Amino acid sequence: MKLFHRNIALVLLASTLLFSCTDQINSTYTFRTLMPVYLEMKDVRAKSLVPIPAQEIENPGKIYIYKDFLLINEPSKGIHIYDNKKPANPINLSFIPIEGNVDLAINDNILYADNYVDLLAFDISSIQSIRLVKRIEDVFTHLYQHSTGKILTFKDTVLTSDSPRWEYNDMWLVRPSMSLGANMAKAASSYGTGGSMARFTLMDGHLFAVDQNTLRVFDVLSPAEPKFIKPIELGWGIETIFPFDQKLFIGSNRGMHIYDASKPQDPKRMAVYEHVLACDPVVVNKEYAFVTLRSGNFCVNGVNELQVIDIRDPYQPKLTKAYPMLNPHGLGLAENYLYVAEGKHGLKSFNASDILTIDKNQLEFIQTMKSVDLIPGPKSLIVIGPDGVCQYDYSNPAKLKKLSCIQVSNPIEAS
Amino acid sequence: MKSRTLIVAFLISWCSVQLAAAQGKDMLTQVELGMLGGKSKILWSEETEDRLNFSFSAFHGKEIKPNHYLGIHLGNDNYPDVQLLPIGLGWRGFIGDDIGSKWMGGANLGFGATFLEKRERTEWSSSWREGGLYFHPFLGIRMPAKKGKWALTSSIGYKWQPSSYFEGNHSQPETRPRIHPFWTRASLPEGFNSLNKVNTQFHSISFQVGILF
Repeated sequence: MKLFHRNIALVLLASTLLFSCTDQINSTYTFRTLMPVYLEMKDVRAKSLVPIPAQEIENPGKIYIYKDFLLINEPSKGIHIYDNKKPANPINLSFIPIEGNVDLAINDNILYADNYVDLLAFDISSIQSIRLVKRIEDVFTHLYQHSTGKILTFKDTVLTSDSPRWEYNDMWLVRPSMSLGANMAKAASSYGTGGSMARFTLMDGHLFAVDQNTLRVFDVLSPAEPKFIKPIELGWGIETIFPFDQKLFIGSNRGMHIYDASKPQDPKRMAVYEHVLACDPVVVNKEYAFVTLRSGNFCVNGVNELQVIDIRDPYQPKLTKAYPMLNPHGLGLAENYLYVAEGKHGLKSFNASDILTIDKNQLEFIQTMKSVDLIPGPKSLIVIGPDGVCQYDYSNPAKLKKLSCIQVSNPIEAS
Repeated sequence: MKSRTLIVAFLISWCSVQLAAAQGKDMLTQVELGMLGGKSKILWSEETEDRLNFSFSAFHGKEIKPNHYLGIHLGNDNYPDVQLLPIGLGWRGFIGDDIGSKWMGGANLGFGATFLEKRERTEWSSSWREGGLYFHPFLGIRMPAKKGKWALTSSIGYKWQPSSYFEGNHSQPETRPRIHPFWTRASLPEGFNSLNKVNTQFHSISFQVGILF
């Protein structure tokens, strides 16, 4: 009886208490975004632009080769300079800290680099004593916010809030893939003069620079005295510029613009070849333009292909053939050989002498070399991948031989 | 989930019986089943709803001093939307005469694992659940059988068990720098652009009955 009473007491106690505790629930949303950062140009201009000792590369952007030097841009931070006499053993020499830098080009020992809204010219004739020789202020004015007079840039960051929304501390944030900053960073992941994803290029004593919607022309006939000539509106979505045969081939996410630059101070539009919304670096030879279209960023159509466009009549470019690709990024053309960076899928080489059978003439597909851009240089094929900047002996395009890799401390994500 | 629960309960029981059959005098085996009751709270709302969840566990311990046993604790707890397998250490203590029923006290401390929860993965997103540390003190009585060395137990206690649900969107197909966790106070797992974490701390009253060998 005593035991029965004990059990009854326990059951009653349990029934009373059973639903007395309330669970706690909370939610955290961690997301990657671009935080707006406002800068005063006077503060930026006050900073020293003197080379400092070699720094480890955290995140490679644009690469550029000049004589025996390899220059690697660190987006928004500056430019690393490597001695590349021996591609099998590049030597890190120094770093030029340049805030807001995403592009570079070199003309006759003068290095041109952007510094947010300004264009800088450095004398690099002596690599040991690089010095700033000219600053042209307020040329890349698209970075200015007219309401504040300050520069608007974006810092890639990770935030945590208690709910999934695009507002943080009364600020509207930018979805990284849709932002100006992302495109700048993407543009930075490219190579230099003659490269498929460059935004700065040199031709006939002129520097041509594109941003999202404008082509800017500079007179650099006197290399150390660059002069801004004029801006030319192109329409939104401009991504790359490639010079060839007194023409400028400008890749946008809606198509390819062809400009006659026989009068380089005053380029004239010849044609616009339109395609679906996709990212499209361009390289060309005398007869054909090779354009890679890929999905990603603004380019969300899921199109991944290599298009060959007949440009024998530059006023009427025509699609000759399109080849399916995996996720092509940058590309490079060396004589009849075409090299395509296929993002996380690897690096491909093709014999492109017959433009109608490129797919049947794939020479090599190195799946271990994740790549986003490349330069077929005079001494080596230079490839940027998530693991760093690697160089290949490409004397035999069917058997690329790795020479060296510059490891990076904060590799980029290759899709 | 029901079939998985039954399989887990059967396996634990079978192992317990085997252990009990082979155990020495200074060993103790306890198998319990019961309920975990509480009020579930709805996210972003003050609303609550009662929950009553099945719980099953086994304890195998060794006498460390008279009437005190320390050992391992295994079990299965079915919370709303998540099945956790508690694995940890347990203590059992008894007060009372050697003849007749005794008061029983105990506590379990360990980790509620999510081995049986599936990770969902698509091209665009992933979702999964994670368990967490649990603490379960209780009080009860031990009622000896008229014959044999086994006894019935009945207990009431409190159990704290956190668990989290994660749902994340994969990085989009694009090339962007990774963000070093040092640069920010927050960090994301590699390959993710966003991650939503819903953390639930289950506060339950436990009511269990069992047998003890």
